[in-house]
Amino acid sequence: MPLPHFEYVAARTVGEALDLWRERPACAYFAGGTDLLPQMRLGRRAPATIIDIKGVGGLDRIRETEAGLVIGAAVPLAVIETDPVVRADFPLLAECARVVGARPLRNRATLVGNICNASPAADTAVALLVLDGLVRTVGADGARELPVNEFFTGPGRTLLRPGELVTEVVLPRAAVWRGSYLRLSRRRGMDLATVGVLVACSNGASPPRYRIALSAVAPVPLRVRDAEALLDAEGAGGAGGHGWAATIGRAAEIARASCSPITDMRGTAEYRRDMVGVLVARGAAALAQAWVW
Amino acid sequence: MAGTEDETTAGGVPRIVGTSPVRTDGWEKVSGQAMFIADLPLADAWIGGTLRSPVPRGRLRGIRRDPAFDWSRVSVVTAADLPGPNTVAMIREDHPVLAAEEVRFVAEAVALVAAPDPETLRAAIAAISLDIEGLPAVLTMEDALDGRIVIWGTSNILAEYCVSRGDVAAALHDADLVVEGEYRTGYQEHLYIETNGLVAIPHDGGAIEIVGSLQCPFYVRNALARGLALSPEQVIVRQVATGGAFGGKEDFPSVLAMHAAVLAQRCGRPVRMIYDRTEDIRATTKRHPSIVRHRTGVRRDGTIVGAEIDIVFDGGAYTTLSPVVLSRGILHAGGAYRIPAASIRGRAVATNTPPNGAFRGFGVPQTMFAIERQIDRIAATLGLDPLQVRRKNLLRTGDILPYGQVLEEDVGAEAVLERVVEISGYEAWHGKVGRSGASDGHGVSPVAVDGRGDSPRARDEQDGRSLARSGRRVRRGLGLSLFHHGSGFTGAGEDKIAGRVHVRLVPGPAGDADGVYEVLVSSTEMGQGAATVLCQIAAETLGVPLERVSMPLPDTSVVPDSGPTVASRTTMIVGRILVDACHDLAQRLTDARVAGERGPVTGKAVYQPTPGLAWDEVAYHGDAYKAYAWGADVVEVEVDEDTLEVSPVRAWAVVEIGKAVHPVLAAGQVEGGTLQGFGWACLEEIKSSGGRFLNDRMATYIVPTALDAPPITVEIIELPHPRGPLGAKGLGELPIDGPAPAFAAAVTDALGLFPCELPITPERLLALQDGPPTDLASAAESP
Amino acid sequence: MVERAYARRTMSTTISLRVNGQDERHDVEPNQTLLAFLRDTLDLTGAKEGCNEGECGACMVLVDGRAVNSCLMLAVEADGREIITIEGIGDAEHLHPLQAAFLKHTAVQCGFCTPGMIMTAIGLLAENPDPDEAAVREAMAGSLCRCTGYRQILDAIHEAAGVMRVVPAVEFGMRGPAGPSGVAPGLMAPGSAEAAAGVKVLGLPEMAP
Repeated sequence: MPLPHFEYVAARTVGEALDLWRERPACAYFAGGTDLLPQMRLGRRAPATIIDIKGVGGLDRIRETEAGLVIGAAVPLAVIETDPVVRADFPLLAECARVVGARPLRNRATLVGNICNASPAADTAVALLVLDGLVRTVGADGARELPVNEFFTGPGRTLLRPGELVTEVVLPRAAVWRGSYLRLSRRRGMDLATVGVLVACSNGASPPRYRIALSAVAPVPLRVRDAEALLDAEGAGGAGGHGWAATIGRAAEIARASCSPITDMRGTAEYRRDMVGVLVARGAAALAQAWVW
Repeated sequence: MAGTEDETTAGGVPRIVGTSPVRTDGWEKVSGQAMFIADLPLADAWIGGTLRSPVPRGRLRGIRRDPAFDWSRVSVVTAADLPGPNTVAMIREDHPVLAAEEVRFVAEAVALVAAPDPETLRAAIAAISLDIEGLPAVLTMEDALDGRIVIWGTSNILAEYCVSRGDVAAALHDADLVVEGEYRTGYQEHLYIETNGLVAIPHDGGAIEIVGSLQCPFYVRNALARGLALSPEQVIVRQVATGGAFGGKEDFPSVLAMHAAVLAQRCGRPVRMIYDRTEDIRATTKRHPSIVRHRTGVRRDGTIVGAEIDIVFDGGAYTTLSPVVLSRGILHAGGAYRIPAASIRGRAVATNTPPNGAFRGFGVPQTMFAIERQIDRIAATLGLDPLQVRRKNLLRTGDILPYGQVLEEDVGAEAVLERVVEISGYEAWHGKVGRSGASDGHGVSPVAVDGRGDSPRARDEQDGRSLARSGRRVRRGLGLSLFHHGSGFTGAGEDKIAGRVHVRLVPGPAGDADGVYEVLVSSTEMGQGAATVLCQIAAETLGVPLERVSMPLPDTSVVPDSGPTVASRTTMIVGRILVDACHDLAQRLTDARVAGERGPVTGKAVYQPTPGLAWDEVAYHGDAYKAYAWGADVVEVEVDEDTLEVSPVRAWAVVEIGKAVHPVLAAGQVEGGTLQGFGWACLEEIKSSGGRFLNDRMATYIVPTALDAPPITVEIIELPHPRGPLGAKGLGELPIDGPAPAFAAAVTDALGLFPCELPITPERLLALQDGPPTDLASAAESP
Repeated sequence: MVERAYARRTMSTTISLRVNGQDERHDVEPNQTLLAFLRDTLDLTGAKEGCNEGECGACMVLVDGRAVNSCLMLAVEADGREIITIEGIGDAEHLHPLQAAFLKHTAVQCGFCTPGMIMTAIGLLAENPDPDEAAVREAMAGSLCRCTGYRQILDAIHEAAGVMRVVPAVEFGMRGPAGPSGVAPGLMAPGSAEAAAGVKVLGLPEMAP
């Protein structure tokens, strides 16, 4: 069956995109389309107008600014995961980008699309949460800069107002965060996460700071700040020391308690909650090991 | 050994059978030129669509058409409009073309619409509403058996068969131990990458032509002749390139062809019906879910003295092929083992779920999983190695199967088992002498914790480091299975079908010398390589180069009925008839040329029953299969002890198939079947709610990708069979019978847990781990 | 009511693009996917529909040299782009090394996934001419095959990669070089004994007493 009918318009500037939205009925912004088109086939979304923003000047670039590294809304994940600067300075983002779908899909899918889709299982969201990413938008009320940490409000829901366009994501260069994205899925190739846990540590900072973000175990991707605070406090004297294993266990317990998974066809709530504990402990322990050099 | 065979045939032509030439359909496929059903240009065709039941069971009170829609733009067919009996003829006639008074499963077809374009079709279907009064539904095998709600016949039993040999009660009474086990398996969707699809073209005088992606052209022809009240000659069925089938295009195309045909007759033009993926998953057949219970009497040394086996298959709402699937499952339920006294009962029950049907293996993977797990349970209970128990009980030449068949030809069971043990290093892994499988209640063999253990199979240093760094605690396990599969139809099936084959020589410009030979059969190429293999057999028999032999796509108005392309019968059974047809051609050719005739000559042959083989359909006793192919798998799994993720990391498959006509294609069948088996073992699962399938897309019903496929080492052993063409037996289904139990055994080896249900997901393992300890000894009772 | 939801026909757009080296100019509907455009308008039916949601990879084509699921791209987006499909990489006399290798290794069974597999592999080798086993498996994970165990496909890709590294003349969208039998240089003839070397066939092994 073909897609339902809609009007397709390509914007050349941000202003034009906003004007198009205002003038036309039931619009959807469109970059990679890898989430939107399947959702339209499933009848979950039915935009009358699709506004393609890939031709908007500047949105297809990754650029260095004073505020940090800026990734345009039209940059596909495949470009991000192979970008030398991203790989060197924001390795967690490269790692999380690389597990979205399969490579050909990432030739089209964008980072901004991944977060605007606001799936609780969005892989790149956890990286942006840990990296204190900022979402730059332009809307009828002007430009805004929204912390990714506040961006998600529910499954498929964000702080975005009608017609508001995400133009870029900013990655501040406060610290280099290292760690690993531990992700369970039913099969190895091309599958949504059943549970995703990112445990990271600010590299070289003294004392080290810790961050933990979870995906697919709550209505939104989320940080576990209580567990982070515990690791920060107990790890001040140097991770990997005496009692660290117990600390990790407590942090894992906090993470378990702070998620609210559901049972769906990818996994049960019980399994997901258990695995949050396992993976947080595993990720923190791996960091500790990495610290003993 | 293959290398010691003569390099040429009697005619001086290099040997063709046993070599691996390029597939005859290879070029069209790598170039994108192969024409699948969706690729055929059909300018004036309309598109057909289906309105389906949203509920698992209900009384259909009315079908309402929105008067606001302009119905002159489309054609609509409901049960009331059918030209013939409302039945899709298969084994029984209980499957309606369209639901009439009652709907019996979610996605059952209620009305059909043909329209000139997709938008009109979509709008028309949306403008039809169903008035259905819900009725209590039977959704599980347990509910079907308890019979409080009767949805089929008087007891929900679609089919029941029993096999019996010897005095089982006495055997179990005299046994040292009776070991009991219950095993369950779930749905498996074929997930051929090309969905079901075909085109119906109406012709003058009510005749109809079907062109489509299908396995069995004559099944479709016969179903249409019955359902449309036509003579068989008025129905022409043609196969086009078929993008995978695995049984999923064996019975279902008869349903789809009926739908397309009645629409085509109604609107008077070709109607194309190609399911999208979701409709295909929701509406078409699956592998039957199963529950199999075993009670096995054994001696302390592991010798089986008697067995009681009770089998239940979930048939879904209608009979389809369930009786024969069940039959084959029952006949293989004792596995590749000698069971002196056996009582095997099988029932297929009706539920308000989509009818299940043929899927590669055809009932055997379910019962083979059960017997193989039961053998492992016996070993664990007795403190023996699973290999030891298999060696002690495996079938040998001269043994008698539970249904009375004496194995007179070479039995490959020992050969495949010993070979797979050798190449996989199974004995070194398990400690050669009498490793006590579960003496401590946990069948844990040397394990590779953090990938660094002292196991012979520990990963290399680099891997070990990365595992350690990631904090994973990993265990490995090795599991074994031994299995067999009967070639061809069960019992007197081949005699009834009496398959026919033609071979035609069409002389070229230089006469016979550059003429081409056409293999005219109804056998279909669906990826497995039938077109290549049959051409090889013909070329070898005729003593001509392979390039001069072709096998056109079957067309029921041209080819004889060689029977369906199912049941691992094409190479062995059709291939054998083909050899006879080639000999007939040689004779007729001589006669024709002597008589001065120059035109094409056709050789013909029909299936010849084997003297001395007898099958009693009523007593379920006798020579069930013409031959058996044998297989043994070893699989190594890696289990993450904390997340309980399990994946196959390496596998070895050894098969004994009489003769590999095309060794590379044969290996491809083994690898592909093995991977499908792993998918069924650990990934693939249909989840449903209220009779509705929840994961009805490729994003949610998942099958193995290239990242999920372990390296599989394949070896083929050849014990030529006297009744196979050049010794060949059936192969297509065998490889899917063994992977799941081997996988389960490997999980047991790694974790000490004893999974009895497929698929073996992390969640199921978590439940096993958190549940009461698997005390295998308590499963046994001392009489 | 339902009628209305689908009555939102909007005007078609004219796109200009290059497909398999040919300039094309066509009117397309906004809701037409690139896959539908290639199949229905250009009659290039090598790319297949297996799922329509980017899961199976049977619809893979190259867009400006990168492998893309054509079921998830709109035809209007192809305006100004260079598209290569399976029909554009080789022909009967001039097989692309990947096509030849797929034939040689019998990496083809039903053939429905094959064009997509080959296009995905071309996309991979364009970026990484010498991929290791893990890289090939990773790159092919978005292309499903239900017939094989993937080994024959992976073997074919590895071998073709080797050929393509020494035969730089092979460029996408151009006819590949060919030997006398239609096989690209460097590849063994399909059906040769070597092709079957991966499969061990035994008679009855010696049994331990």
